[in-house]
Amino acid sequence: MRVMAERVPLHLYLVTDRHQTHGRPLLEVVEAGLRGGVDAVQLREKDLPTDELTSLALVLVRLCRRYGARLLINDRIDVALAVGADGVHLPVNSFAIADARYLLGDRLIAASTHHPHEAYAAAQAGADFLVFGPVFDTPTKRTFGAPRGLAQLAEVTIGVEIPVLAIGGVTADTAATVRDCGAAGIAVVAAILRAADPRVAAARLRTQLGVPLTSR
Amino acid sequence: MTIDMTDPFELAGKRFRSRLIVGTGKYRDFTETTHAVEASGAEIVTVAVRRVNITDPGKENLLDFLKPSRYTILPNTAGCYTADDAVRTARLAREAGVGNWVKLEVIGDQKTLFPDVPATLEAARVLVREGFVVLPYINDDPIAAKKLEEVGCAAVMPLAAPIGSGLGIRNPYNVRIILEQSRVPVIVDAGVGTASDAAVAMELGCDAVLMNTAIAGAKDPVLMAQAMRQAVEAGRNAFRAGRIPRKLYATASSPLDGVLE
Repeated sequence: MRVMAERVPLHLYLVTDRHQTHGRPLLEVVEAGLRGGVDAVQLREKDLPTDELTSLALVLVRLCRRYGARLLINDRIDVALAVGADGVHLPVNSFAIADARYLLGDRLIAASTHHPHEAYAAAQAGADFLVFGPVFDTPTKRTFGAPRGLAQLAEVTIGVEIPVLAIGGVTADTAATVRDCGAAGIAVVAAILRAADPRVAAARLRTQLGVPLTSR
Repeated sequence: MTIDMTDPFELAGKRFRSRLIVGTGKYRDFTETTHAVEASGAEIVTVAVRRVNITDPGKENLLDFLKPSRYTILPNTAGCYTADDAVRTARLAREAGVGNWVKLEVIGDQKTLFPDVPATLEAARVLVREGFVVLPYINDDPIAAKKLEEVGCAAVMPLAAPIGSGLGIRNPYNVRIILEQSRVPVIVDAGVGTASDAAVAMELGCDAVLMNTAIAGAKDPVLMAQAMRQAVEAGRNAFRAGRIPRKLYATASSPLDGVLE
């Protein structure tokens, strides 16, 4: 990996969804994940009003910092700036990356991409890292179309110089294969949020990715 | 870029949002360069083509970090002491595919790094004729500025103080005269030390400020880059807002008429 990757040493990116935690408080599940080795969290609660989202983000900023993890806010540059998050995760129809960069300075900008050409464009425009998928079939991602598969993932990881994380149905069984396709890591929702023991689930994923948690 | 074009900076037919131009030299590594440039909000970055790799595929290339699709790359002829050298360096940069803009520097003295104005004029004539967009580094001499504008330069770039000296604008009166007479943008280049220096330049009415050492040499370059961004914006806004005049004596803030007994 090139020098740029050192800026973002992230392997396990947890995307939140407070409706998928089997009734457990989101913060509890996220903290367990952090203990197990999640190194970045994307706060994505699209149905929350701004005041609640901001309060939640404030708590998460502190929680993530305690574990040395980054917090990115999905789409909401205003919330990210207000709470001092580490950056923003831009979905496909969000701000142009150049405009986001104007607002964010040198904070992190991650971009969701679903096709190789989107990935190349996002990298060119200055994203710090990408999430590409859905690689495998998964209910969360069915609205984005058919799974892209490992071949396209490999195409993307070869074609850009920034870290690419794979998303979409990645499990402990498939994490190693995904890494072999050049992904720097994975983004997950259910694999951790729905796990009986999110900490163990996170730790297993990291081990399968070849970056076992050594201490936390 | 679509956000916030209320007061665009127009240079050589292009419009920019940022009035801060930054150099890319003297950083620890390309990663630090990138962080600082991003924090500065700069859209135009200068590169010393003789010192920084932008052509050798075997070595780390700055343009992989600061992509030409995102930034306007301004190659500079730093390290050139003759007009010939500067012209050749500019041509090399253009051939390397970095575009046809050039920050022209022809240095006259190693200690002060002051520009050799006659040589700069000579090089500018050649480069303008060859279709380059020339941005010349000059001292704060209104005659030099006038001559370089007349040969077709796209802007004039008077120094605030010697490169890297951090002294700020030493002769604001000359800079004001240059501003009065110039029909091309005036960009203060060299000698800025801290945020207030950049704000002062913009308050005088300059169109932009160019700096390198002030950011790269700061203890916390990313934080200084942010400060410079704010300073350039503050200075520009203060200029546009129209300041109160300077007076020797006080003027009460509230009128004395109708004072209560």
